[in-house]
Amino acid sequence: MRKSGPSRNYGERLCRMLFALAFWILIWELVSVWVGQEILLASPVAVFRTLFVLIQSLDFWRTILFSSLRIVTGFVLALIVGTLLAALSYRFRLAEDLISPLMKTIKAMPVASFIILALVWIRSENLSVLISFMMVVPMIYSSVSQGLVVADEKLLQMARVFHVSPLQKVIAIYIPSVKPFFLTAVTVGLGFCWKAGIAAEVIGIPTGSIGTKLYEAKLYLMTKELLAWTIVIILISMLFEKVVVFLLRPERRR
Amino acid sequence: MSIQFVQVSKYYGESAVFEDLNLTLLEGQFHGLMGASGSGKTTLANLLMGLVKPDHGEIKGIEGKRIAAVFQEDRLIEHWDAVKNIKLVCNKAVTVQMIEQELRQIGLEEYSGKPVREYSGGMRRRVAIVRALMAENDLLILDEPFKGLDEALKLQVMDYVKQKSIEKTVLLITHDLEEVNYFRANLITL
Repeated sequence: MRKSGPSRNYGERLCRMLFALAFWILIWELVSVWVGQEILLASPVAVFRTLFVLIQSLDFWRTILFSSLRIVTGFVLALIVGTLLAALSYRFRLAEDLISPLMKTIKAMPVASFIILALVWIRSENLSVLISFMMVVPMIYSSVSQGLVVADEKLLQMARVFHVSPLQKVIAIYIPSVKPFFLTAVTVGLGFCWKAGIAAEVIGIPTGSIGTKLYEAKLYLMTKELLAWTIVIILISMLFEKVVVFLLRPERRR
Repeated sequence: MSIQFVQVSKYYGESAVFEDLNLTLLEGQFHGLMGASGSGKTTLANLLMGLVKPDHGEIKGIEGKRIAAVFQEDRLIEHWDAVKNIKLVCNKAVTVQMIEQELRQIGLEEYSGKPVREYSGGMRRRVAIVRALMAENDLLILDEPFKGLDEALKLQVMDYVKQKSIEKTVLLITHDLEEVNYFRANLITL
């Protein structure tokens, strides 16, 4: 029996994705053979073998849990704080005058400056919480602000005339207006906070973190481990993105 | 208590929409407001709703009045169904069953569960009308409420509005004198 349209599309997409993956792994293999030195570029087979060994140890899962918990905490805090600050700025002119330049400054500041500054203030194991928070909060702030500004003025007038309660106004008018901006910021921000969070761990080297594993791999020229951990970071980041999109976009669940 | 416009003027930039306007909306009566396009009918409605302020003059008797309106555009929450759209503006005593009953009277019962963005223009208009009529109000403003309805439907909806607006203070903005006559409204021209 022929498959239905959507599932056939999904199958096709998966095949194309696997083909692209196989293609780039082949290129990687060829380049590593050409380079001929594992210390410069380990082959995919060696890296996947290392990864296979790593996943069998309890320490591997503990390390993932350590970093994930902190980065996700920073991310979730950024979602909450960014949204609240945007709402405050929308409601009160003074709040906008004060918060907006601060957000622009945070956005423009190099991550490395942040990390080094933050290391002076807080313990290295909490560094990734702060850094992932700092990376995402201006994104959420500006996206939610944009969504609030473009809320349908005619619907807001209707709500005013009919004395619709503030909570109902938020549910009926503001949330649908903010949602597309928010979802884009969340998807982009999640990738950013993983990159910045791991970078913070590489600099702060808190014991038991993915960043520290990367740092040690670089220090002892363990290219296989370095690449294996990089693959792990990519996979976790993708997994979190899928989970967040699944949670925030009910229409995608169908 | 009646609503009185006393020497009200409204300007947009240099041009006057109206100047020194005096008119009275009598409590519990139906009023038909007519005038050429651009004569300020919708501005007058916006002044009553508090969406714009007069530049000169005063509107007496409007403070504290609950207003319900059918706007020129439907102004519905697109992803919500008819019942939810209506419930949004009603007090807590109004139940879903009561709303469904009203929708049935106006021929919308089958569609009550679908988002209004899937409705035809005429259906959306009817939802906007039921919404205004079910909201608690001391003044009902109807800005070209029957626009876009075909003749048969228009008569049905006009009859429904007539039944529901007995002894209410109503301002109907229209280009159609027949509508004014149908409601035996006090005619106001701008």
